Amino acid sequence: MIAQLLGGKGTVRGRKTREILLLLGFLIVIWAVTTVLSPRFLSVKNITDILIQAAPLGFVVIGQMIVIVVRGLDLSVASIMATAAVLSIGVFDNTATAFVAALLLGALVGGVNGYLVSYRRVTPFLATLATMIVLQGIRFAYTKGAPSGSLPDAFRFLATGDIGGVPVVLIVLIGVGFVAHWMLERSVPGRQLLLYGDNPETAYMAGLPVKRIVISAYVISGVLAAIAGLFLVGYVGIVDNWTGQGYELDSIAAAVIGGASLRGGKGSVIGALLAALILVSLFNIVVILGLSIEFQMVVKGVLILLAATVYIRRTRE
Amino acid sequence: MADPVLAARGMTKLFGSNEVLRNIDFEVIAGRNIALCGENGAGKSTLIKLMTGIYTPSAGHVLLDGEPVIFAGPKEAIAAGIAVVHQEFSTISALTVAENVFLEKEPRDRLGLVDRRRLRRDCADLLQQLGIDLDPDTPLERLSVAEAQMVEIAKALRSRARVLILDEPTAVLSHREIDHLFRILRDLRNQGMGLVYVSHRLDEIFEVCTDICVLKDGDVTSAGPIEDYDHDRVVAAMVGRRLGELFPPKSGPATGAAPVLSLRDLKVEGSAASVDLDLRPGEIVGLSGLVGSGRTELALAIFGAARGAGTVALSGANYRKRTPGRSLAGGLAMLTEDRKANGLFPDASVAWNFAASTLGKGARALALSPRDEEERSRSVVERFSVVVDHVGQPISALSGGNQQKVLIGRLLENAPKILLLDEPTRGVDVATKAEIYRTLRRLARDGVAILVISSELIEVVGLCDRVHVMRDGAFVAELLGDAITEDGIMAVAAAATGGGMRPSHD
Repeated sequence: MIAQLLGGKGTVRGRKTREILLLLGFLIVIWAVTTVLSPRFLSVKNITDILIQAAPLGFVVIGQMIVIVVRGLDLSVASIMATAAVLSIGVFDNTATAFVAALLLGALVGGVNGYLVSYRRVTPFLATLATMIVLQGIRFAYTKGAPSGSLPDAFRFLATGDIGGVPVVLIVLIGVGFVAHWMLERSVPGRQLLLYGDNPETAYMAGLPVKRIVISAYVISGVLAAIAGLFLVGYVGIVDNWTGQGYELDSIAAAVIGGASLRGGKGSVIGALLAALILVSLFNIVVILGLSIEFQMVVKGVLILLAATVYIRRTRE
Repeated sequence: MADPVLAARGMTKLFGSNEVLRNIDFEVIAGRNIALCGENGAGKSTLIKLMTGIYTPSAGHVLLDGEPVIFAGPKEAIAAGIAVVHQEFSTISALTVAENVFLEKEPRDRLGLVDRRRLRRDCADLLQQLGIDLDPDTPLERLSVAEAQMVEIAKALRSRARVLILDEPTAVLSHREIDHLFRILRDLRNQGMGLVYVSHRLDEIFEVCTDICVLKDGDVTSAGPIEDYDHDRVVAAMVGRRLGELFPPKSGPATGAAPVLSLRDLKVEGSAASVDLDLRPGEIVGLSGLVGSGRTELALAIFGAARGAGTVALSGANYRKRTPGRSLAGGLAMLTEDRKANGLFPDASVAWNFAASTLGKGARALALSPRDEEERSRSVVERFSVVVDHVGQPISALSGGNQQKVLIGRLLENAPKILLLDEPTRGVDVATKAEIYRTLRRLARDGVAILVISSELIEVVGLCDRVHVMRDGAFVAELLGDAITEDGIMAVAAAATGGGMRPSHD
């Protein structure tokens, strides 16, 4: 019964399922320990806060994970977040137009990243570093260093409002997560991403559209980063030039903790989202326990090392 | 005959209740080279590991110079003068030749530091002794696979060895490199070393070995001096049936039908010569020639994975802007030579590997059906008797031969009209080879046109209706019917060797 639940020993799917259960177990353990240390932790209010805080990272990590699956890395996500928010809200008064414009910008930047990596054979690190800096320049040129700061109410509602008690941002994230999960696990494009990451040479010889695969991964990452940027400015309440700062590394960390391999071909949406939740929970715990904020970095670093060693041991088995 | 240097007596090995070897006697004699043959799983590697201290026997013992010994581990066997070159390389690519050869045995100066001058000199001496032309200071990553193999042999022989065991040493070598390896082996033999040569490539065994021992399912089925054997007798001992039975009857070259694949003046990048070819439905055409003669490059150029100038036409229609994806869509499929580099998705499951070229070919174009994939791949597993517990296992958990079967299954799933097969039975055991040959012939009868590239002459001779011999990128001869013989092919292929011959991997 349990063996069935675990998806069979020695199978690829079984290994993936066990990794997700491991992450879920880890999340439950840290929540339980924190609850014992500080009963304030396990309240509906606090858990909802954690979920809302984790949501923007959740969008970004799904995209980052997909890029990592195709042996890439997207350093431009944080810059996309800020630029999409600053430009779209600055240029368009209409909220819906601004939203669509932000998504288009994310897709465009992702497309450029993907083009550079697939057609021009630039390493993902350099390609996305370059777009990150270019976007930063455009953003600062547009705002002349000081963005307006004001934000349409609709964005506030999207990020902090709720429908029947469930925060809007979570509804959107769960929807996006479902689609991404289905795409990766059960659709042709998702399978192509995973196979390409496993062995790009074989993918080419097996007739897969290798360039399209790579470009689509970066486009997905760009679009999700743009969405994350809008929700984050909505949550924070001001449009800032540095919105999303640090999300590029946090998202890479969460993707890896969530089971994505930097060698490509491996990753899951559920794992990535759980890892994002674990990261944000730990940040929250650091605050709840009254530790200084610098501890968040220590926690993050330790967690990455932990994940790396656990996964390496598991691959060796 | 002289007394054996190393011998196994009554060697038996059980893994659990599974008897892998039964009461085996095996002798290595100084100045002789004994071939150890058998199908995958016959027990060759187990026997080697028992004699070199990696496994301990369940019954029986090892004799060194007639005295029973127990090697507590591989190090003791090495100390006793038994050198082994395993299939997998143990060299480190960041180090130089000399550093690799004397790894962990570097000559030290008085301070205990590596004496680099002596290291270089010792290595140069050893390489010269072995007739290996390599600079001790070259980093290993700059060497070809064949040269790395030479380093591996030098490493095995750095301390005075009396017995050298080579486990499938030629799997990655080209013909010319194999010749070089064989020269070295003959020299060692003449110097009085006892050699064991593990391989299932019969051509090589007959070329370099003096004795043969055939294992089948853990028993010695036949053993003796090589002069008493021919191909047929060895295969019969390996699989229990005759070689001729491996190949289905030929149908003869097709002449009536219009060609499905036509090449005109096709010139592979880097080659001066060009090629014309018509491939008709129902025929199996062999592409023979030494490694480096341009066979693989030609197939890649047709398939669209390498550049080529000239015309390729599919059923008369000019096929420009070739890519693997377009080729597959047009019914042209290719099996590549190098499974690891571009045949496998190593971490993906058997089912995923199997379905990779036919994603979305079902009713729903976007959604996958894992159950359908599993069912289809299970049918291939049954048809080719692939040894696997579950099609959800990663393909890297399978042996090379079983991986190859899955890849052939993937290829046929496309229902191709034209098949380009580069070394289709590499690493596959004889029983499965027979199954693959039967499948190919059946496909041909159903109207598929097949182009086979193979280094195993026996395969080309047994399987093909028509053979083109290649040299330096050009077709130098076409053989038909009874004219297709090993000698006939070799005579044309090897003529004027050295005229621009290149190893395949540069």
